[in-house]
Amino acid sequence: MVMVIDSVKKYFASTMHIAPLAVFRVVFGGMMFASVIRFWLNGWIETQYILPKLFFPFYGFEWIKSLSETGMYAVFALMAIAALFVMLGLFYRFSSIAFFLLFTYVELIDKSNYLNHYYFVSIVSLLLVLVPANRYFSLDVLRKPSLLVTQIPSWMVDIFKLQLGIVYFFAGIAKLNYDWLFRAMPLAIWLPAKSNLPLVGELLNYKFTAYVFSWFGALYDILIPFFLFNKCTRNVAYIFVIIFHVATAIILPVIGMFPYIMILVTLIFFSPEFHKKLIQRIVELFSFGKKNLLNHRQDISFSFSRPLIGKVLIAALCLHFVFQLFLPFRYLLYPGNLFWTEQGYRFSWRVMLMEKGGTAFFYVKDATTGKESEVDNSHYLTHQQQKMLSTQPDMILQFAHFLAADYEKKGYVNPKVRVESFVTLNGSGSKPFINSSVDLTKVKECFASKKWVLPFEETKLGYSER
Amino acid sequence: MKLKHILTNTIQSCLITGLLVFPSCNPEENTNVNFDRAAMLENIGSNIIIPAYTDLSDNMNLLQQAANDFTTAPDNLKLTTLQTTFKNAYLSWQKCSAFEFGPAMQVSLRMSVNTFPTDTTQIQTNINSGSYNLEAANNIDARGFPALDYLLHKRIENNTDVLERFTTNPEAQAWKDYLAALVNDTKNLVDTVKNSWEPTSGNYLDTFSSNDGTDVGSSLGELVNQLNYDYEQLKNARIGIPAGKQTLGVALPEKCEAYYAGYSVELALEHINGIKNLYLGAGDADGLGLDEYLIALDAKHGSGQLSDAIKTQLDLAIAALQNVPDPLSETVVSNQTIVNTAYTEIQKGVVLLKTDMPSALSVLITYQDGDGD
Repeated sequence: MVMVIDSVKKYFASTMHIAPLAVFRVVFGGMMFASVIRFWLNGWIETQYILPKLFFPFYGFEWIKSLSETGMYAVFALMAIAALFVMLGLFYRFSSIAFFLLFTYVELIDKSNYLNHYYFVSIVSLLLVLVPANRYFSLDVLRKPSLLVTQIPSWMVDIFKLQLGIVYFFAGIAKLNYDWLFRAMPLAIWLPAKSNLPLVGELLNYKFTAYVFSWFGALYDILIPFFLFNKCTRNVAYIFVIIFHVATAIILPVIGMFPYIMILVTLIFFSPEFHKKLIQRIVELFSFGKKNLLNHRQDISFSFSRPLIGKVLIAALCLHFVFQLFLPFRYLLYPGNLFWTEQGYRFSWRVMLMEKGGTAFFYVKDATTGKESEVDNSHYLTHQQQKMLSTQPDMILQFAHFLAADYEKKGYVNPKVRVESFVTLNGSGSKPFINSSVDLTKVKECFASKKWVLPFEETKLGYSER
Repeated sequence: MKLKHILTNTIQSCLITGLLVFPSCNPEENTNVNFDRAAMLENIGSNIIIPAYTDLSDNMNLLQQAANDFTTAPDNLKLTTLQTTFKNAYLSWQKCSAFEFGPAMQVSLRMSVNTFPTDTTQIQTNINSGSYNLEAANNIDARGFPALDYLLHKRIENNTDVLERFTTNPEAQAWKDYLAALVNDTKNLVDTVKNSWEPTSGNYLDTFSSNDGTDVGSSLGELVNQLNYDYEQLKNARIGIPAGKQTLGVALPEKCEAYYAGYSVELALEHINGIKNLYLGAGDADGLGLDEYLIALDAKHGSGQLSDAIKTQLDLAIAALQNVPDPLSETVVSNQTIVNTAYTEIQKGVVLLKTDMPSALSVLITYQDGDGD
């Protein structure tokens, strides 16, 4: 026991060169800047945050509201600037906090835009707030040379490796299910759709290929963190990282920036020497501010202004990672098939895991006449919102509550709302999803199991019909 | 070193288990998807879309001729001929309405030629003023087939009353002018789109056939999306809204398509048959269509094939719709049950076409690209 405590103490006292953290900051900030600009140029600020007539906030975050058109554009402009400043390491404490808050605010507005990689970005930008990533190879150091630091506690770099490792590992664990392994679902649906690709296209038509990809994908996700941690296997592992993510970018339906972000941030697993050389190269390439940025005679170690801050930080981070380890398993507390009910699905690194589609017809009943009206969903919702809502019970409930309020304003007396919805999961064929006799206005959102979601026929191995 | 050893072992055992499992897990499954998407698109383009536009264009020519004859010397016989040619053109439009991508999307064909119910006040204003730009936003519901429907028909009265508009009415010339303007406007739009598709002119057919991916913006993606959009228009605009589906069961007869001519169900039947043929890839003969594609993908619904489920459901919807007598504007008031039955069968088709089919084809129901993970 004493030995364990000693080695833990020793670990938290150990230090390493700051270069990996500095490179990580530049890479992450740069990718975020590019992502925000891309988002803007694609017109998604308008389609996702200005045009929608209503939003679907997360449970407990209903107080988060979107801003006016000007407000939203201002938020994204500030976010872009903050990301750029993070990359440059300029006014870092302020810019890193600003980026984290702005990005997370935007993601909390509407859960129909939820993506695991947005969640990942929020976490990483929060972790970046906690570490002095601007104390080397940054404009802050150029501006104020006294900030320069070369040695930092090892944990300040390791937290990013651990977080990345968790993302990969849990993404892999999530793939260990019957459909993925033994029906090659959903890849058996997605791959043939890409059969027009040059060279590999014809191969994608074969079910065998879907099995190989499924198994390779699961093994890759589970094992890659360990191979990246291990010095001997790191180089080969990184080649696999590149191959894997480029392949997903080409083959999977709409996947956006995620593969490229992963390829670049995974660089953090490499040694400080690698990152020092990388920085050296960049400095030589641009031959700017050589002296101020890198020229230092001896190592300068980072220390907290008050040791207590370091201890509090470590404690908070431990809590964060314990939370990270348990969150993906919270679904075990719910009955039924996870993919069907999606209770405990989000925030668990379940990435590209199922092919799910649905249709939902909402009906509002007027108490005085006892008659009901069908709702034209497109009158209220964007295509993205309709698509997301049709397969996610909590969004269906939110929309039902919105409809009740809206139809009451239209003059309906004590409106009751029910939904007839049909969902297909991994090629199951559409089946009734929500109990259509339940008046959803009487149902409250909570963490308890949603009994009004009809069960998917289940088998002993999971959620397959076979 | 030990860790590495464990990992190597894990990988090896996983791979071995995997290889053992692959061939044995589902012997009855298809081993590969054998389907030529480009050939399906080529079939749909050259045997369905282009013939449909050609047919419509031919009927528009006849309509223009009949309208000329009629306005030169209006009489009852010429009016009847004009009404018949109008009906033929309107019927052939029904088979084009799902193709709202590429050339049709560029000119917003569907919205321009078939926004209903038409705005009779706006039409009257245009006729009175004698100066109008049919392409202006405020005229979107004063042009196309619905406007012609209003000009050429009266619901209760007989043709004598229609004839009056073009003869003894002090504004007869203005009515004639508006009629000619509507016909020309619609014909020009149709011809533009038809020419863009034809191999001898715009050759969009080639673009359409060769864009054989499944992403947003691919031909299949657009086809499936527009087929769905159009089918939902059948459910809502053509049947549901007039039947009071969105208004607590209170029928809204004046919202019917071809409200004045009174053959809404006939048009709706032509429309759903068009959807069915598009799905089947059936022009003059049954060629490669979405049904063959679903069979190749081995897509299931319940215990059977999805391709059969969709065809059966479309047939059920057609049969139920055939039971609804025209004029629909009267049936929605007099016999709601029979309309509701048809509506329900059409709605069941929405689920299959909008949920099962895109999911099996891996096509997104969306009109914009987005991020995903």
